[in-house]
Amino acid sequence: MAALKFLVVDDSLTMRRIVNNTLKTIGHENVIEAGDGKDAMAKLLSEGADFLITDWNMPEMNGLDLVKWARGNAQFAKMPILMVTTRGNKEDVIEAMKVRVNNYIVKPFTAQGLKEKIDQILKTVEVKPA
Amino acid sequence: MKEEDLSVILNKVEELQALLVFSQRSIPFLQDIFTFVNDMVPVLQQLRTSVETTSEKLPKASKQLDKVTTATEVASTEILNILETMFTKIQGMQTEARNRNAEIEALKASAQEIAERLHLLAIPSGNGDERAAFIGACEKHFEGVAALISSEKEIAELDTLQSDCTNIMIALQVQDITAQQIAAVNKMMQSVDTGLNRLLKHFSKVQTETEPPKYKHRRLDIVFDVSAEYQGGEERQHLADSVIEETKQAEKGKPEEGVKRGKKRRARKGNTTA
Repeated sequence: MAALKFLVVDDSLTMRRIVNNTLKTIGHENVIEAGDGKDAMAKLLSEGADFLITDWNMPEMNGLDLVKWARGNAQFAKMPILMVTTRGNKEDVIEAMKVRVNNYIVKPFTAQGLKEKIDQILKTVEVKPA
Repeated sequence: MKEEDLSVILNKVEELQALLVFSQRSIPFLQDIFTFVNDMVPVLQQLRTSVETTSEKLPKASKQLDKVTTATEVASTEILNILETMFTKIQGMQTEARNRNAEIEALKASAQEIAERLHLLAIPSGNGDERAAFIGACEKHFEGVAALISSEKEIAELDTLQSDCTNIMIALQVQDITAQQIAAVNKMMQSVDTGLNRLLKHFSKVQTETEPPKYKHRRLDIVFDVSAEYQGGEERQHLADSVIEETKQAEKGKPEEGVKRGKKRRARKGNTTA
């Protein structure tokens, strides 16, 4: 099976590198990055991706709006999406579930935690590598 | 002089007298007010100086915070650079160690074959026990050599090293979280400074000119979460997981409700047509 392509979206360069490296240690080498929701939209349309990992608080376009856009676009409506954020309130999680993220992980996360969330999503969502 | 004029004059005199009595009574009160205002002037001057000083210091504090965030970002980047190099090296060493182990296993098999052939050459009409002893001795010798050069321990240590490097990397999330916390403080300082400036305007007739933004720093001008915290991540994740579970359970229940509504609708239609 072709390697899944991950798009990691976060306005923090440090966080993007952490997520990128963690993905590599758990066997996912094919990773592209974006610095905000707008950049992510452009990358999805131009390069495509199989799995979206996004932060919430970002300039230009936040993660929630990015997810809403993706779910409203036929090409990405069923793409697996994992929200990675410092927001840990019940209301925030509910809001994220309303826009249909597949799962939610709170920062700071562990490498094992990230792996488990990704594996949980991949078990429930059929992914066709781009 | 007419009597009416006299009474008007008398009234006026009475009014004047009342006014003078009132003035006499209010003068001490007015004196107190003047004394109070006089005393307040230096206090207000001090307050003004204090507000001006604070208003000057806040942007400097903001600059210091920006330096802190910059420094932590630079340090995190340097650490990540080193960690990424280490990950690559560790991966290379793990691959080499595993390949070496695979070669050792292959050598073990050929060593056994060599031992059997040696025995056939040395003792052609072989005594079974001698043969077994000879092969056993060769195997024991080779096991000893293999144990000396085995990579199992090395592989285990490399795995531990990789895990430690991963944990260091994960801990660097503190940079993102503290950057958000610092940005929140910067925003608060900006609000306080705005309030102080409004206060200063009452002290000064001079209109303050539009100044360049004193709180705009690239690393602090980020979208932040006021509740961002480094501690307690596990508890917050448990809460998030339970909310996700509840939401998914609730969604599973929805199709049943749809079926019930449909049944009710059909029942109503059946009644109306009947």
